[in-house]
Amino acid sequence: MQMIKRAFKTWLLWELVIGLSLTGRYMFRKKITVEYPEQRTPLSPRFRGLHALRRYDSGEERCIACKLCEVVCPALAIVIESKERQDGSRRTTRYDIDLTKCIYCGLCQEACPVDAIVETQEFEYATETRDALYYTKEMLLDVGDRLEAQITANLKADERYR
Amino acid sequence: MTISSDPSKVTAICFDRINIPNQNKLSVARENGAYKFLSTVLKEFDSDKIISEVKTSGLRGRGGAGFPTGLKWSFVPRNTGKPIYLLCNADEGEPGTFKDRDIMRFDPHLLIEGMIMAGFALGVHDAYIYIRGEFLHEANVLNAAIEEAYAANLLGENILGTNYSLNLTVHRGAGAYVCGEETALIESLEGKPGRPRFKPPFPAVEGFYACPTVVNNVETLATIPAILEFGGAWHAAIGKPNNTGMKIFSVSGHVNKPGNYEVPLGTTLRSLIENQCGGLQHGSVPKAIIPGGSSTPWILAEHYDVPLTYDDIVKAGSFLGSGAIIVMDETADMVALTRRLTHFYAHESCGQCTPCREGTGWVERVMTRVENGSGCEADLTVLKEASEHMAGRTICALADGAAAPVLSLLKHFPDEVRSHLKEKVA
Amino acid sequence: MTTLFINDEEVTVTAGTSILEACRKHGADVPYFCYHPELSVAANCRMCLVEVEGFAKPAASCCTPVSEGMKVRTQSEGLSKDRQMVMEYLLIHHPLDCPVCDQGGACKLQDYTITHGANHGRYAEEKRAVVDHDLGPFVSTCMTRCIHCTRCVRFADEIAGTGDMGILNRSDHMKIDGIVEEALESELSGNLAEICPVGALLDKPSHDVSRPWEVTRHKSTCTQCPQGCDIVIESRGKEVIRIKSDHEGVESWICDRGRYVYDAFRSVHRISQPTIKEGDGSVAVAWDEAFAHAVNILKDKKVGIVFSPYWSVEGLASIRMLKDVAFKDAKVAFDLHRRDMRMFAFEEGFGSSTEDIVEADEVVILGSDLRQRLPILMQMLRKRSNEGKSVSRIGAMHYRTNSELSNDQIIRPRDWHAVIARAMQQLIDQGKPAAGMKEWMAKVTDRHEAGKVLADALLADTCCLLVGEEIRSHVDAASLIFGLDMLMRASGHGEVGRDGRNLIPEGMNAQLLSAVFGDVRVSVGELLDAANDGDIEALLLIGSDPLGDGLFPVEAKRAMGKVPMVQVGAIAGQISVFADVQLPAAAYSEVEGTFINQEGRIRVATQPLKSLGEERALWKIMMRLAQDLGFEAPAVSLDGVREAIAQYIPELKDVWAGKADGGWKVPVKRNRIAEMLPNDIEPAMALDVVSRYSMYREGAWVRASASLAEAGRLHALDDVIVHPDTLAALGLKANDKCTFQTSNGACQFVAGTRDDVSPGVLFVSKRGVAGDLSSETMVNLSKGGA
Repeated sequence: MQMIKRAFKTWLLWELVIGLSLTGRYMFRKKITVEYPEQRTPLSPRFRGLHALRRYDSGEERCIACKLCEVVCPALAIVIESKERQDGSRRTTRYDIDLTKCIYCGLCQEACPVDAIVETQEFEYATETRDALYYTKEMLLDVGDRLEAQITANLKADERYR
Repeated sequence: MTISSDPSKVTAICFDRINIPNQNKLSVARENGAYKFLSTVLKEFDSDKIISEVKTSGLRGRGGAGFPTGLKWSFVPRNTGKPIYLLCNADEGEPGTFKDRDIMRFDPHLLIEGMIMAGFALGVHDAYIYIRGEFLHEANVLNAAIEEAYAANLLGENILGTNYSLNLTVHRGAGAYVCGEETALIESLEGKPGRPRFKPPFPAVEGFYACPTVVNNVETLATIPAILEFGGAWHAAIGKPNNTGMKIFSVSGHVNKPGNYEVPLGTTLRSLIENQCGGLQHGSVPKAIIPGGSSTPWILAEHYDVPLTYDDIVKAGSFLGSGAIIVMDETADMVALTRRLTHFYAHESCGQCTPCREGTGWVERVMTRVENGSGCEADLTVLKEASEHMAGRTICALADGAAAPVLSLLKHFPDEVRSHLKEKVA
Repeated sequence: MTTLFINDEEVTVTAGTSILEACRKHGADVPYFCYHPELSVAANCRMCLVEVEGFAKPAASCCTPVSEGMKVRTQSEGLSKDRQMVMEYLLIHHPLDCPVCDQGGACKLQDYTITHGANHGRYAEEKRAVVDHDLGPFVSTCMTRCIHCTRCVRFADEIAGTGDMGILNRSDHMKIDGIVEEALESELSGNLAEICPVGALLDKPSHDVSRPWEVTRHKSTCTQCPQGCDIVIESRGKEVIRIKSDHEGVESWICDRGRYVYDAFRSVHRISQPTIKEGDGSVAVAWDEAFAHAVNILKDKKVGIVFSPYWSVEGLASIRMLKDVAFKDAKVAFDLHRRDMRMFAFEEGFGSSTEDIVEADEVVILGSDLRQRLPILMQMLRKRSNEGKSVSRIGAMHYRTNSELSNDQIIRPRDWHAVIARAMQQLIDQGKPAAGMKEWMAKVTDRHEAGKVLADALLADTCCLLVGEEIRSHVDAASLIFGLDMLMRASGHGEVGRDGRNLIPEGMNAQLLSAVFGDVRVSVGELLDAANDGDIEALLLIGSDPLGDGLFPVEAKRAMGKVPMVQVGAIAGQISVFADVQLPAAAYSEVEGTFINQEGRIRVATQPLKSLGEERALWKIMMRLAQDLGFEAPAVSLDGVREAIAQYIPELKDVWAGKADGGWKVPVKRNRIAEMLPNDIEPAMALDVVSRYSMYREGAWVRASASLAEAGRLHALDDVIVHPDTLAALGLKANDKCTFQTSNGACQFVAGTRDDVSPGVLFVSKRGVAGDLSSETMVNLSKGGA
């Protein structure tokens, strides 16, 4: 009986049918694979990607050079130099993040008292040279200007969990 | 002088001549007994005798603290090589108090005589009257009286032919409540901002210009001539044991006849108000009474029969203070009253100690909110804690005074406060 | 002694100590804001409350004296609530701006908020804001942060003596304010930033630059004046951020000069690379090339060496070692303020320790603007005179001291002989003669009454003289000092242990300099004149700036450019434009080295900073020069140099080995052979010149600092100053143009007047062109000018 059953399955390619039926089932299911880069998965508002320095609506940079991010950074990736600006406010003269050192732990944005340094959802900043990963203040501010809408939305989304 | 040598018949000591017109003129005052006994004191008494008489009299300081005057005088170290100063505290700033003002206005020579005797007892050659800045008229009266006294050789070199000399100067304050505190008064008199000093050293050892200094209230000094004339035992027989003598009470508030009343210590509050002040304006018992000036805790109707002595009032939970009795009947809004008092203390804090400087302002702002009806339950905790932790934690007692009304309000009238809050408690 | 119990532990302290001091001494933690060990007690912060058994209420421990058997508790539930409330009161109006406040991270208020404060504030009303005040170039203010501890007010009153801080208003409108608009009129103002427990008063030059956690601290010695204060240099990497006083050091305060010179450390005036002159400018080269050029200039030439005393002992000794092997007949000079190079009866340096001076019955300052010259010693004397002890002074001007002097006489420099002769006469009359006095007095015809001040002080049991720059730079200084020496010996202040003879030296390491260079040194003026005359063919300048400093700017101007010059130094100075080769030497903060101060106290620096550029230690440069000049280097290691120094002062060996007991001091040399009689040359001109020593302008380091230069501008006096009577006698008014006849020709200035200058004295503030007058000792003044 066993023999017959086996011969029957063998000749009718039964395993193949079972296997293909799974394939068939998935063929008609909703697809979960996305075709990156044309298609993208959604990201959490807490996603920790490329850093940005933000500005106030007036265009004034937020960072007040308190250096808390510098001291909290476990990878020593941030370097800040500060000086009193002409108008008496405390500002950075240098704000560098070495993205090759950064471990994207997010402690810098946790430490920031004015929400100036944030990590955005941007993760596509691969470069051809290491040099290009040494981000300066201007570059970080540019990122901030470019992604402000996204940053604001993310901060708002996360607000009620704080 | 009409003061009776029989203690039981004494009706007034400081106010004995108060109603005689033109008493501030030396001639009139002398006709009525001023300086009568002075030459006897200067010629026949010595320092020890005077101090022991004052000790026997049981006279306690009339300025507020009620410290025995004779004891205070005996603390002054002699023979230190430094001059000793006598300062008369006439910076009568305590809200509700207006007794010293009448003495200075109507009978300045009584104060001057008392100061000469006290100065003689302490070996003082320079004495000052620190008078409240607002008392311009009184300062003028005093100055005129002093001028006359100098002319009559009652002040200056070799008073009345004895070898005792005393210079007396009136100094007007600049309107700070805290200068009524003796060390702040000394600072102010030295020309510095009026900020209390910490103790020790006490003024008796290191006071005015770091010299031994005695600071006495006007009423205290005005009592001295009578004590020396009739003897300490005579004074001790007036009033109650340990609370001897007459005391001027400045009664104000909801009574029919507010004013200054000199009565023996031990008179009950009820008798003072009903017999002398013409009773309350509304109702039969007061809602609350401030017994010794605004910085003393309030007492309620249950203590209406308390005898007015230093000790009995303490038992009732307050202090006799300067004898400024503020009476509130049932129409009084205790929250508004407290708010007004907190404003006074916030304005008058000298700013030296943290709790008082910041606390008085904070309490005032919270009280204002509560009065306006925008307070909440948590504010009551703030009021309580902020007041409790400034009282007794500062150099002088101003913070205690600032805390007293608030704590009294919270203790005695919690429901009235709650009715002012935003979320009303049933 | 009083015995009390702190937290049940038995503790014995001196009677009269406060509870807080007893607690601090015995390690019981009591928080406080307003208390400061060097200031009077204010007792106003109320943070230091403790419980005392038997007291109804908590007591402020800072103002409550201990009593026998007292039982103190520093921790309890009630106290922590009290402290929590005090913190809450303080934070009511304190802004929440810690992230932008320089004090953040080193702030008492912040620390106590964490340890004693509640986790949230309940104050919901409006906060107070206070207008800031301009307190000059050193102190920046943010008065909203003030917690009214009044430390600054007490500092200004008690330590600085200026009283220019005060409290205005009362209740919570109270504010601390400066009374002077432009500047804090004190040479100690920088300490305010240090004593402020919060961020209300901060260091201005380094404002907003760094945070406390980024800096590393290096213990060092300040060499800006002979006081040699212990300092802590805070640096971030190689950059000096701040200089602070060392609280474990001898004195809690340092002066503005020593503190704000850090500006210069990071300034463009540092020599950070070897350079050689090319055309009008200079180019940076490698060390080897620079040495080759230097050798070219110096080899087989008659060389003059001018150096400054601010180097370490090792550096200075290496100069002598180089001279001994390579330039045997070179002229050596270092004293920019000394005209008379004859031997002094007592050499530069202090015979008494600072404690002796503070404790002495009498202190007499002779010809010195001590507040500018030795601000910290002046501060101690101020404390002394505030206690009612006597401090007298004789000098050319009533120099400001910010304290009451018991006696202050003004004289002309030419009167010094008469002053000393008058004092000698009094001592002889009172039966205290000394051998040689008669001969000395015989050469002086006049007697000046100011001598009575001196003689009266000498008669006291202990007396300290502080002999200043007016005598040291006198043309007849040696005889004056011999005269003073006789006075001191006659009155018994010359014996060991009671020696009160103190000659304020040029700079640091005076005792070493007189030991090592005593036999070879000449006057800087003489050396520069030799260069001008061609007797010297090349100059080796080590850290000195005779163009900018001292009494020989005219000689320096004449000589510059005539001979080639090699400059070794850390800071360029005005003279650097004439240097053919510059070799960068490490500054005093950047070397391992030894420093000796005026009283002979020794400090060995062991934690140097890294140099900013290519600087090397001076001794290395000297040894390399010796080598490149073709000689064998006398030492090849720091130990080698020290070995050589030990020949002069053997005890230093023990100091380096860590064996010497800390109290050992390098003694000052006494020259008993130096018997100098006064010269009896009649003064040829009417006015004596006295040059001002300004702490904000003297020294290349100081001039390189922007903030000190700003202070120098604020505190500047008129270029030249005379007494109004002097002008009036010539028929001149203030602000008239006058002609000054000098030995070098005539020049014209507007002369300012001041009552506090002695008549017959021309007081020269070393600024601008008037600085040239510093070279003169006498001038004639006449009407004139366009």
